[in-house]
Amino acid sequence: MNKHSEQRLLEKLAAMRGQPFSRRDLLRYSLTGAAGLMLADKFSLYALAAEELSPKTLRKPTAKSVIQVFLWGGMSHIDTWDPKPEAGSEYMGQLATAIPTNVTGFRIGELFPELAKQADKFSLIRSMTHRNNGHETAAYLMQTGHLPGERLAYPCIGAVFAHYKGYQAGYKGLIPPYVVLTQPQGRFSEAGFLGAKVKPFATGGDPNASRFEVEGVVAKGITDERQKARRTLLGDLNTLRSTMPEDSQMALSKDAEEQAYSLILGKGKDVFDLSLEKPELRDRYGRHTFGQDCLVARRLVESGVPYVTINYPGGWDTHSNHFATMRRQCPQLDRGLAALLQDLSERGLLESTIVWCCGEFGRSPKVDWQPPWNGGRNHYGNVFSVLVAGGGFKGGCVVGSSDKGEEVKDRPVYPIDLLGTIYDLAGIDTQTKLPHPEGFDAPILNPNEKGAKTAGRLTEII
Amino acid sequence: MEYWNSGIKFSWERRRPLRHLQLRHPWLALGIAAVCSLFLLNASAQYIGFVYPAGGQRGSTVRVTLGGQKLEGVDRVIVSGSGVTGRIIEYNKRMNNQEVQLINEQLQELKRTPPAEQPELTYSNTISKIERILGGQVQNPACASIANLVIAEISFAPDALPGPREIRLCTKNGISNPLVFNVGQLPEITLEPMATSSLVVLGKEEQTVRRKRRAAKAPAPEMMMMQGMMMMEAVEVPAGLAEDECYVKLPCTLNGQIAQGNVDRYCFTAKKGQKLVVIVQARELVPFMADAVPGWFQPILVLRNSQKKEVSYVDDYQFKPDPVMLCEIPEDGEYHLEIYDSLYRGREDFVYRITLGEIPFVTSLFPLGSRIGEVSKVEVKGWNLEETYIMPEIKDPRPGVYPVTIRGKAGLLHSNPMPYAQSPLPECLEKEPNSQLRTAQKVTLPIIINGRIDTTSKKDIFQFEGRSNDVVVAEVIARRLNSPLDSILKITDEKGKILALNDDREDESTGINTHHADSLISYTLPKNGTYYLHLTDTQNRGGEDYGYRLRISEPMPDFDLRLVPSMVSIKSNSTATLKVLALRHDGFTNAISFRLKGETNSFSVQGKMSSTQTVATITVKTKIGETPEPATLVIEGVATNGAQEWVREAVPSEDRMQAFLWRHLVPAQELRALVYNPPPPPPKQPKEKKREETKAETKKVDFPQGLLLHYNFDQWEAGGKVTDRTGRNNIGQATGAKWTNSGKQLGGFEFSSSPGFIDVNTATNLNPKTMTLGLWLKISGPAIFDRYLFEKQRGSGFGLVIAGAENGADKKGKLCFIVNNKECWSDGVITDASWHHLFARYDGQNLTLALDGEIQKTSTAWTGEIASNTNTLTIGMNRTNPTTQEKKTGLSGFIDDVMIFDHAIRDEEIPVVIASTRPKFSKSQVISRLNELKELLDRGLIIQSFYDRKAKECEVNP
Repeated sequence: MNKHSEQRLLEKLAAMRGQPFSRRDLLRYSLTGAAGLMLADKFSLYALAAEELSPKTLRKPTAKSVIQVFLWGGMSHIDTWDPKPEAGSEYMGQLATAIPTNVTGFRIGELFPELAKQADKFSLIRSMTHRNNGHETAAYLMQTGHLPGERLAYPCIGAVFAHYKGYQAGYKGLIPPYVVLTQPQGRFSEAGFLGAKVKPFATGGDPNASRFEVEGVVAKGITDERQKARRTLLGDLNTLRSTMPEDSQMALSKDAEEQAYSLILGKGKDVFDLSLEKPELRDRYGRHTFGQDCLVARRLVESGVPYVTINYPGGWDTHSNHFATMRRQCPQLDRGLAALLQDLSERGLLESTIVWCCGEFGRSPKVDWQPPWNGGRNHYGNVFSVLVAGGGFKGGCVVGSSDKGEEVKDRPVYPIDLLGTIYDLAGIDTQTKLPHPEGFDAPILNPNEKGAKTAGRLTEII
Repeated sequence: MEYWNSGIKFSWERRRPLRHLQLRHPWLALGIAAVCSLFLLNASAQYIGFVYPAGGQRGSTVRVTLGGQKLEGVDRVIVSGSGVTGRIIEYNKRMNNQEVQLINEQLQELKRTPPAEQPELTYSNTISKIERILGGQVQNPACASIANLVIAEISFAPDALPGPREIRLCTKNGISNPLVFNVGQLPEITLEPMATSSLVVLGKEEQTVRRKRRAAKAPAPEMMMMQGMMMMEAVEVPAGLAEDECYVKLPCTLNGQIAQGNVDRYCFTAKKGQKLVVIVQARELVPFMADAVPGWFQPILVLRNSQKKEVSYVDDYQFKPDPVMLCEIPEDGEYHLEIYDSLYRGREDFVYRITLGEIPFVTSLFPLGSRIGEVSKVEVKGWNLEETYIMPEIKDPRPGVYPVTIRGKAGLLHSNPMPYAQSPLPECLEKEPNSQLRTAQKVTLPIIINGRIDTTSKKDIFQFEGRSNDVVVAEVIARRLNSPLDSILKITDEKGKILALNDDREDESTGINTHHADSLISYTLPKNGTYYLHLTDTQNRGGEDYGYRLRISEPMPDFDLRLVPSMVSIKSNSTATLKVLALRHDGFTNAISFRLKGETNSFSVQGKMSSTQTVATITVKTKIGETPEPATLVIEGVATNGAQEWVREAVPSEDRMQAFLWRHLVPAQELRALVYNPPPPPPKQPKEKKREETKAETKKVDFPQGLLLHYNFDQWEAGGKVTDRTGRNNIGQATGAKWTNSGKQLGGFEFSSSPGFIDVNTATNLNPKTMTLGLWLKISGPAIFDRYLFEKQRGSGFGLVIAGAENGADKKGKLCFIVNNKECWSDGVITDASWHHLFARYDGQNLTLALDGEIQKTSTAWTGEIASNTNTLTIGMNRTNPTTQEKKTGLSGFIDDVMIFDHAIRDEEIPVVIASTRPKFSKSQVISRLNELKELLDRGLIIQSFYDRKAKECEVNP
């Protein structure tokens, strides 16, 4: 809801009641339940935002949805997707072996046997680089394509998708167009200057729990029956709407309420209900939070959600205890990601769904044996790896290479190149200017900004 | 008055750090990368992360705590220079869960039964030691690499020269890195060392906030511990002193550690007009922390008056993170000094040392140096100084930077040391006015200009004549000489057109100075003519402290060397390697070879570096078998070009990470080398062939079938519930008996109350016709009355009893197995406080017993079936209506791993069943376990008999 229309409505209501009417009052009177409040707010904002937008497109999009697996903290590239067994133990530490995949000549780290079976479905960029070693700044770079320290705080790619692939582009889903499983990133504002209307809907809860308690959708400790009873009761108490039956704003809020309830009690809720999946499939994804996150992500894109981010439920900032963490987390990542690619492929969704997975940077190629790390790896943005699949990306390819995992050997790939290719595949023109509230010139990506580097779109794998 | 000079050159000059990893010079990146590869070399190195207190007063003896890792077998503490000696008192390694469980078990045993093998005093000392160690044990320390603690005693000779030294620890086969350790001049007050901090969880920081224990708290008149003299001095303490505040008498040195969320407070009395100087050493003591942001303890110092109103606040000094407070006391009264971290962080290595009082403190010298052999009068600015001008006495004729200290009032104390440079080039003083092109001071090259950026013009300009294609180097040396000047240099022509400009440059030698700002320009002159060199402060500041030395000359190729690390451990008659990094200046491109300085037959050094290399590996070789003490080596690099020869000493350094990312080379005072005789190789393993033969001969015996009930007691269960691990649902209910984590293996049940028992109500499930009972038992000693281990209606069922003295001396402590009132007695007795395994079995014809796996000779023949009954099976003591005697028959002891089989197990199955209750160790686990046990024994935390017993349990699981 934009500020002007909201203000008009509040003035009208205040005049009727004879005392000021706050925005909070409006929402309280028009919706029922805390969850409804939150979602109705989002829906009405998204719906109104749709009227104001007119996205440009460059090419016929091949990708309808994106699943981004974000490995917060920065996953080691050496131990995963750019192994260097020939570099010796100084580099490889305890994970000295690379394993073959189902694509000839394509090897990955020993902790990824399941992904090795799906290598024909994904490609690896082994020459990703931005040379930034700070969590916040590197995450900003990888998710906006813009250099940190600029005047403007740009929105991340998910928020841009929400803006251009959301309701204004014909998206009619009950679930918001940008969903994060399960916790928001926190290290930077995903929405940037686009504001709250494109902030992701973070589900909360745990899809691997017996009941996936999605924030605002599946309430803690409240059954569906009780929720319905509450709705009836509050509907009876809501006399405001009956006094203003013709008011368009009231009608809008009623629509939002209906949508919210559809999400809470209807089809929307079913998207998050993993009990509707076969147990064998759930097993294939892995009975852990990340595995079930992947399954929920598949269900979300299946229902048309344009952008889903899985924030890996566990950090990859392995300065210390590195190898133990890798042995614990990589098998889960391996299983969940492999099952996701296979499942999307089997359902014919991979062609229209981009899957990309990486952290904000890689980790130092040499193992740091000094105290206090005692066998850890530190931040490393000079070169690292990214997995891309589907939505127009070819499988079974390797883009670029690194020397010993320390520097780009050939074909550097900069954030602008990766994000630009994803936008291209989704049919979003990266020269489109984002609507800045103060009217600043803010293209989605800007290769001409000072310090920005580009080596071109990833044409070799699309 | 003499002051400790750590080496040939001034230590501050030697503290030249490598800049961070975002480097512009590829050669330097290569250098750092190569140095980083040393991590592997350092992987097994002994390490210390803090020492507390970080010094002591000369003439005193102090106890210090050092925290680090890989310090097993630490046997020596060494301090650089003369007059300071030390000895190791104790080593407290951080224990793993298994070790904690072991010493917990040992503690309980010792408390229950004093061992015969130890005299009473030793025994009680062991108990208190274990309790102290356990009290300091932290499951998840904030920083595990500093959680292994060494306690050492350090003695300072009365004539030990004051100043910063270095402390290291030695084990049999290695030396640690050094840490700064001060010899002080003033009485010292040292707060109690803090316990190991727990890991701070994001969002739950308050859980690790704690109250620090203070050094001295006693009724008035307060007794204040004067660490310096190891004596108690009476001090009048003002009324109303805060609970957590420490009253001190000026002048003094304060030692403390800052814990998470802590503010340390000191109170003192001062008089109006006193010129108070408060110098903090914190970052200087532990320069870089890898796992903290910012990467060091950043102290804040606040002085309040008696009304608690802020009088002074400092959080740094010039460009250094460690604050110095200079405050003229405004009125007579009490003052309160506070110190804390700027982000309220804290842990053991947040160590500080505050020197407090009317002590001499130099803020600046001018000029900052002189030509070799031409030392002139030097102006001194500062507080509480005896002199305003000095003539520095530099005995060393070589170029370099040397420390200068000034006497305080009455000549009793040394000031802070200040760097003073000495160079071979001609020198001159800056002459004002020179802030305009037209008034620029004319100089003839080569020259070093000693100047100051003044407060009015804030600019100095010099003019020189040059010829086309001449290369001119202009270099500011200011920050390196403690000047706050943040220089910016530019060369212009006579019209003011900028030809070259530099703010600051990458200087890989700046040590712990992360605010390096000295400028350098190397410029090829385009034509003959007059050139102007402009020098200003980037932040447009100036003043009497803003001194500089400006070198203007043709390139003067030279090099410095850094060695990493600052210690080397070499096996007898063997070799070891060190990395050396060359810092090439003004285009120095000659090859460098390396050698040992001084005469020695014990060591030699080999290595060289080509003209294009910046990093090389050098080899240190020894011909001796062992060094009684680590030797001090000096390695030098030699380069020649025709008749010209350069010889430069390599500065030993430690590669340290700051705040997860940046790396710095922190110079050390000495390179220490330890030669050790390695232990003999382990005995050869038995030949594989033999083992195979043995294997073939031994038939594998499986665990017997027919287990009716199994309680392993390994996990605590709510409400005294005991789960049957067979899945047969024979759930037990404990009454009086308590679960303990000190069972034979993991958990067990303790029976110490009367009645105390476990009832199993599924009686009909437990009516076997033949049977085997098994359990682990530990009791405190013999008793008068019988104690029941099992009973299920002994008259028409079964029972297992330890006989009391009432049965006569011959039966006291023996086991008695009863089936349908038929008794079978063991040969052996159980009277000690050790774990024993018991078996009682009936095969339909004989009742037999086994004690610790040994079949007892005595058996009772009887044919029939064990009677079936509906009584509850009771483990331990139970009487619903006890007689007077029975009330006293509570089992006082522990039971673990209870098993009931529905048949008599075979003799060969007995070891298998016992083994199933023992820890399942792999070969490597056995080695690790034995090492742990040995270490605990060596540390006096377990006694010999306990060690023997536990070592015996370490059997490899087949």
